[in-house]
Amino acid sequence: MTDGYHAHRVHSLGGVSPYASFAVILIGFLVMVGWIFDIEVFKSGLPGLVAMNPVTAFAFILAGASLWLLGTKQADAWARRLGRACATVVFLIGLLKIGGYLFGLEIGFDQVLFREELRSQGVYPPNRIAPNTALSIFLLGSALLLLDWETPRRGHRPAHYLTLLAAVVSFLAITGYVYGVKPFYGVTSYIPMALNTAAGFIVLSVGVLFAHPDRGLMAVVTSHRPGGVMVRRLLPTMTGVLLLVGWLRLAGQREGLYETALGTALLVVVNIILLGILVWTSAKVLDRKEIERQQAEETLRRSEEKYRTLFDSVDVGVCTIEVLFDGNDKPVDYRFLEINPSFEKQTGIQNARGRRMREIAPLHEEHWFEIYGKIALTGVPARFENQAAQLHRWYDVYAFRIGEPQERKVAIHFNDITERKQAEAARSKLNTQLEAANKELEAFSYSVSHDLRAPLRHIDGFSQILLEDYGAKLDEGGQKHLQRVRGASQQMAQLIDDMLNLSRITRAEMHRGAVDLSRMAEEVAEALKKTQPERKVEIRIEQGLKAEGDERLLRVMLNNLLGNAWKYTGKRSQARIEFGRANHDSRTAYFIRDNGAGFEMTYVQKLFGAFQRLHSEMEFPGTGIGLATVKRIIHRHGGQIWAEGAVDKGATFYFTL
Amino acid sequence: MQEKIIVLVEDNPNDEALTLRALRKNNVANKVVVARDGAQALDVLLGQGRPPQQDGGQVSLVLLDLKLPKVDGLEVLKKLREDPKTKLLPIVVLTSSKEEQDMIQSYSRGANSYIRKPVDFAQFIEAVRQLGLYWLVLNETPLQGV
Repeated sequence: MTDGYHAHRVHSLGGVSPYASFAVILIGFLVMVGWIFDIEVFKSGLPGLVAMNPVTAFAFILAGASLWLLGTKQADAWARRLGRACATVVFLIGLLKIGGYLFGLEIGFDQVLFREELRSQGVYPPNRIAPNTALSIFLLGSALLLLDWETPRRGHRPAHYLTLLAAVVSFLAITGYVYGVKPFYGVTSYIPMALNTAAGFIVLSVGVLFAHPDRGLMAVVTSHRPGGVMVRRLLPTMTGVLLLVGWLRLAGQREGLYETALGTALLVVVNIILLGILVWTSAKVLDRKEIERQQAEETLRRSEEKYRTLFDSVDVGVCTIEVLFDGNDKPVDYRFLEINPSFEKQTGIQNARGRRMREIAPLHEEHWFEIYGKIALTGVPARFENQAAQLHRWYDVYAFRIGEPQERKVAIHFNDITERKQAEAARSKLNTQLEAANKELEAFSYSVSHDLRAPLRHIDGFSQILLEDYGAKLDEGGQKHLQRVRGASQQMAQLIDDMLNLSRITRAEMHRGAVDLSRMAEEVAEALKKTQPERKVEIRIEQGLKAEGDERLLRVMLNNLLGNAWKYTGKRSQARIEFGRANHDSRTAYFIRDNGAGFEMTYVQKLFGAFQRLHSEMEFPGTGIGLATVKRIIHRHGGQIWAEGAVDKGATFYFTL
Repeated sequence: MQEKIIVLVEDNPNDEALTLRALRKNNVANKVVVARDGAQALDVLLGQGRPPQQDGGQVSLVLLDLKLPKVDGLEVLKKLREDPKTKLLPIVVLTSSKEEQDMIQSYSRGANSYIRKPVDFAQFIEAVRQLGLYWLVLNETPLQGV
């Protein structure tokens, strides 16, 4: 923020320079106009004072133009050349005139312009460029020529010193005018520096100094540090105050209010008081700035401490590295700059700070260096999981570039995920084994389905042939036995089919979706009724029972449960079957209830086992696979099934999904 | 009119005997050529061995088992459908299983029908009766393959 203000101040002060150039051009121009139309005020600034020499006015116009051309940042080469040419002319005017004075030569080029008017002035000495004016022109001309030159080591700007010198000379002249001290503005027997000339030089000096407000001497003036504050506060105020107090003291003495001793004493006292106030207020400002700075420092320290604590105590391993490259920008190694305590815990590396990775783990995988090198070069952060074989670990890593791009620094956050990776590997191995087992099972049931049935078919077929072709040779008993052989083989075929169905249901892929159980139950019931239209069965189905699940499997389940209810009520004259919903341990349970043969609760455990039956084949036919199938379907849906019943009191099957 | 020949592809002699008996029981008098494995079936049907037209007959129906030695039934089916001579020949898969994958693959390779042999021999005879009636009497096929 401070830097922002600073930049802003430098920028706005830099804006002073063009205004100064215009002001200087205007002064020169007004004097020219004054000479042309003989307007006294234009020529001298105040009536009765010495007028500015037209050549000086010309020099002002050139110097102003030069400053404007050279001071603009986006000036092109031609503008710069023109600016330097103007500065050279100014420099030469000053040089020639000073040379003339030094060697006693009368160089009259300052008499060329407005020759007649200069003569008709009738004042002695004739209007020329005064020596101090010539010196100032020379100094400022040089300063303009050297405007952009800076000593390489310490950053001095000679132009600033030359300008200050010219400003002092002109300031002397102004002070002279204000206090009425002639030697200050006029060197003995020569024509004095005109007041507007002196003012013009001051303006031009300011313009030159502010052409580069952040360089050389001016760097201190525009600085945001206490030094800059001091200069900006004290310098202008002090100058003004001292000038004013001095003038008041003189004016008072001229009025006869006091004589020299008292006047001087008064001057000193007033000066001490005013300067004292000035110093005190400045000191106060500096003090306040210092307090602000300390507060900012404290805030910074606290924030630093906070993040340091975070860095030191997080469970995540954190480090910063400097990636080291070979001549072809290929990353070859990296050096640890900072590490947090978790780093050691997660890597097992002691005292990594300052050491190189290749030195710690020479076999560290190439891809680590490649990834960090890429981040350091491109600045694109990366998240990845990677193995560090020499550390016997796996890591989950997030890395991003920090600092300046050329520093090639990367910050790394990482977590040891070795355990997870091992678990994943174990799980994947198990999965593979499971898949193999499933494949085997599939091949097995395929083979069963093809090969186990064929002999049964042959048994049945040839028994039938025996009965047909040789039936006459067998007695009734023999024929009955053959019929039993056929019945047994057909039953075994049924068993094989049921077994295959059960295994298919276990392996079938689940396709979950919304299922309307009520409607499904109605369809199943309709189908059952068609198998035995003569039976009178009252079937009640609760409406609106919906569930999530595999439609095909749920249909198999309802087929079995309702089919059982149908079968075991077969001996009831008033058969009743009910499908509905009940609450069970705050979960929705569905139930299918019948008033059929029921079962003994003692054997409830056997109910859902494959090929387990609680009734004889004679009583109720079946293979004992239906409820085993139902149970598997329910389990595959993550639900439960249980049953209640009593002999001849019917049975109720509950299930959840 | 040429005689309609049935080709029975069946490796099991029991099944062969039962199938032939079932055909006879249903008074199907057509000539039956038996191939005992997949390779033989291809030989018989694609004319690499005995051409199908031999003895003045024309193969009109193939009864194909799936589990066969050498070349299995599905492969035989594929080869037959790829060959212009047998591309349109009626082929009925007659096998033990009702595995879904068997049915899907048979139909997608161009089987005209898929029949599972029932264990009950009486039912089997009935199945063969309907099959013979349908494919040899009711069903019409173009005379010369393609």
